[in-house]
Amino acid sequence: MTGKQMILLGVVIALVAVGIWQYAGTGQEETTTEEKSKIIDPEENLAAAFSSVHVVGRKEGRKQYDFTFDVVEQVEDKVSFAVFSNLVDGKIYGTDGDLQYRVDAGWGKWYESSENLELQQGVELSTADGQVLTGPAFVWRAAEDTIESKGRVDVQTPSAQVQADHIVVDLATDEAVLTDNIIVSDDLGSILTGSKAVYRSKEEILEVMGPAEIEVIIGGARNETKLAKSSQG
Amino acid sequence: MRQSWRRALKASAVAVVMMVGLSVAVPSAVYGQEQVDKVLIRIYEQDANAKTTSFNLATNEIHIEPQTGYVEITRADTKLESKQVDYAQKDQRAVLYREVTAQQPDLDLAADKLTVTFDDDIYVAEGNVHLIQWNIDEASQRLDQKLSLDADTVTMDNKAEVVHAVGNVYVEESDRRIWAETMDYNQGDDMMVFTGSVRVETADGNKITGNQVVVDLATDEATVFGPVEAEFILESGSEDEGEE
Repeated sequence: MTGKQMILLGVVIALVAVGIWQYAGTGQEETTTEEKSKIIDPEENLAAAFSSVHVVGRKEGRKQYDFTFDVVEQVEDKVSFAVFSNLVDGKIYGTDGDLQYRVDAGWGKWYESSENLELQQGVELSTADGQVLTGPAFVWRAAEDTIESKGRVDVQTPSAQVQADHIVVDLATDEAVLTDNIIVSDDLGSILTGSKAVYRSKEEILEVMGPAEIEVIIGGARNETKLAKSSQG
Repeated sequence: MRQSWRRALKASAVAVVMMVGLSVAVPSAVYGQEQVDKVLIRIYEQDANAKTTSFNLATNEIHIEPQTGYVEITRADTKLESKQVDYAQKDQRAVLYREVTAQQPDLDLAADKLTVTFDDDIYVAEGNVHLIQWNIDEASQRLDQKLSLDADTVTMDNKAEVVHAVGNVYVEESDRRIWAETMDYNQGDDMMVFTGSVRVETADGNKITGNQVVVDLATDEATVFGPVEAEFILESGSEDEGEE
């Protein structure tokens, strides 16, 4: 590769990075280019900018998210999106400005029009109070401030393990709506099964709707259910 | 005459003790099993969107109150039902409210409230307690009613093997009826004690009242503590009838 070709390639990569900034900024109030330019300086290291794009979004004066990932591909179609990989230690902030979720994902998509962030492959969303959501795929919707699972989800709370086919977490209220094939195992070995429930993480209360079953072991927790609170968070 | 009374009291006492004994025996058998001892709670609710259960995962406390349905709790061959249940897992205690019923193969119980401590195997029924014991065959099929017990509160401690009934105690068994303020049964000393304005009546008209009636099942002796008042009907075939 000649020097000119290398420069040309660098310019292309820089344009891709700038494109990502634009996506991040779309619809997000007070997302300043100045801040982004401090984080990424294409002239400084084009390869690094390409492999570690850092985007910060703000909404109504507060920081809403902070993601770092590698850009793989930018797709311009009816619905434009950017494909990224290696989202490590991303951050989603609550309405009070406090860190609400740390996000890790193997890869994902950033949709321009809907502003949705689709997370896939080994997705893990964890909170400071010891709650961890894992599943094959999630969608974070910035406008609605919700996280929705695509596929069966596993929620590890400080006191229980919760599984369901589907979950929608409202970040504003910190309430999660779980539906279908819900299984809750608490730290005493009890197992609840049901079809619909709302989990309020701040209070660690699960409200179940409709019919349900609970199996309680008399005389102590079952051996196979060991929920180590110390392993959380 | 005295023999007749002793037979009547003994028959009533034996019947009540049999009822109590069965209450004690069934959960004990559960403990003898090697399988995991567990309680299954089923929540019945037709409205899939109606809130039925609040499960505090931090305290392991469960509040169950279906809006239109009911709750069923089963443990071995014991089945409990009610409209509302509060379950504290750390204490292994369930409190059932409203339209409470309990069933065993030979037993039916209804009450306003029932507190069950599963670890200690203690059942406390409160409010309009009505208990019926059934005769059953070898296949545990019900035959006919053996006796009934009514009281304000009935406590069955299956580990200590004692039963304590308090308030408006009324026992009805075939042709005998006993009223008292309290009834205590202790399987250890094989004694059953009725206290407080005790009245015993038989279908043939014999009546006796006292402050306390102690039935020693080991010796078949029933002792009535006074002041005692008795009214006996003479045997049929004799024209002598009167009071004593």
